[in-house]
Amino acid sequence: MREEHRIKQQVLHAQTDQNAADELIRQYLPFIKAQTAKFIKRIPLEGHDEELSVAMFAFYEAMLSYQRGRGAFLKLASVSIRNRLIDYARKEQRHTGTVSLDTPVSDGENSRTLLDETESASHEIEERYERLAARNEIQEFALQLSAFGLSLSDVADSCPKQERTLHTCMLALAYAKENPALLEQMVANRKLPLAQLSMGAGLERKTLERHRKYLVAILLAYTNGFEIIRGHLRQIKRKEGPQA
Amino acid sequence: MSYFIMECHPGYAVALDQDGRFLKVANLNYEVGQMTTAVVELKGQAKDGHKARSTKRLAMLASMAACLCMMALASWKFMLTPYGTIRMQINPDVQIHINRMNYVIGLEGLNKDGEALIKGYRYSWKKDDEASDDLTDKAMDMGYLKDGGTIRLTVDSRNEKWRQETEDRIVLELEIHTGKSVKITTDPVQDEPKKPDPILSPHPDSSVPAFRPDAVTSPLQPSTDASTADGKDDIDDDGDERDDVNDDLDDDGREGDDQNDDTRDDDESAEDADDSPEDDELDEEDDLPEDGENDRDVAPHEKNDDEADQDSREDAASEDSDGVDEDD
Repeated sequence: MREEHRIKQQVLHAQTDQNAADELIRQYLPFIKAQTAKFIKRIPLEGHDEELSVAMFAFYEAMLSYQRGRGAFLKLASVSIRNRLIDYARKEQRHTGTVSLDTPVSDGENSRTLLDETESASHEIEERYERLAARNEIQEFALQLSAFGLSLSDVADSCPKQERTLHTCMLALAYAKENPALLEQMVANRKLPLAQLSMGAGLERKTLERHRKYLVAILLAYTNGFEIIRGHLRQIKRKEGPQA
Repeated sequence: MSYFIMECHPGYAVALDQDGRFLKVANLNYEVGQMTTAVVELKGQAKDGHKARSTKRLAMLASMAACLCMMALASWKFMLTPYGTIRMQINPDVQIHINRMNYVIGLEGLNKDGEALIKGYRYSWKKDDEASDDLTDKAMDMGYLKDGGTIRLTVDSRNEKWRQETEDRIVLELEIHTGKSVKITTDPVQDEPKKPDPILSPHPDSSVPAFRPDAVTSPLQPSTDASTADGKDDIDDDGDERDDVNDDLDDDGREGDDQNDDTRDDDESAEDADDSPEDDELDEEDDLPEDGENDRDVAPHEKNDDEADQDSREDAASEDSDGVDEDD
């Protein structure tokens, strides 16, 4: 009983603290592995089996959705893991006809995989450098975000779910891009110029306020120094509003 | 759709899609800066869960409210739909509209006294027996009804069983309420007797036959009604002024003779009008019941009995000869 009460407290704390959530997942990794093993009928390998990653993600989901007074958390986590693994298995069934690149190829004495035999069209070294550059840029991005008191997880929580709201945020971004002084002002003051954005773009301040964290992140990506991220977002265009 | 992995945690990763969304996805052994084409997205967070639950609760409450409204409307319609009427005729004539549950849903005064009787009477949530008692009391108070008076009840409904039961119940209720000092009757009011149809209805006097369409005759034909016989000329009451011996001509449908007979009859009546007092004796003799020779026929003009007998013989002889000719 005391143990159950302690878990509840940890889960409720983890709902608001990312580090606590990570710590709780690490703490309960054996439990997550056991639930995954029940489903895949073998012991999952950390960093290798995607089922284990999915199970950890399901545990995190259960943590976020848990409410006090709704029963034991571990039961909820167990059901959540099982459901997620079933969904993942069904999704993967669609690819049963395809051949994995990790399929071993019998080549006499040497044990090589299909991936080793296949001639790669890309250059691994170039890709590695690109990924390193991207990682550095993302670290810098996360650092600048932290100057606003934000993390990427906070941004993800504040990201608009509906298409219409996302479109409104994109209109605000388009207005800021047309007025670079607003972006410079935001970086300098560490504050989102909500009034100018709402007045200039003709948008509701309340909507922008609700997604303030997301707007900070997306506007920050369009300041100097984040070309890789902008390159990924190059398809974002100023979309026209829905026709009346 | 490609996703850019921005942050990795043991339980999840933050990915940026090409539309600019930052998403929490399952960390399938990703590295920061990695590009991927398929992710497992987060289904729902605590806030969304709260929203979904509150929306579901709101929908449940709304549906319950809608059901309650429907039930209220249905019961309201059931309560207000008239199922039958009770008509109370004292001198005031009042009609009480009642619903299926015998609650009064309307009062109507069918005459001025009835309107005066129901004026100011509140019938809400009162049953038919209570309302009839109240109206009876009120009629007594207003002087419309006294001991020995009569209340005539007429219950009407499409449901005959319900009508009969309601009638019996109200009669019993009123008898108990008035202590039988007032006569309660359900006999219908004796309306003014309808005038019988002069054409299709039989005459009250059974001796007079009803009108038969097949017996329609031409207005030019002599009437067969006994009442039209003048008692003078039509001896055998067969519509002509001749005896049966001379009826052969008429029996074969030759109407001309009848017309001539009528013509003669008219002439006779015209001459009768011009008769001198001396001639009246002859006419009176014609009107007397004939027997013997006088039973045969009466001459259309003024003749004494001998001359009339002679004429009748001659007529008979001539008609016999015509009948021979016709046979030929």
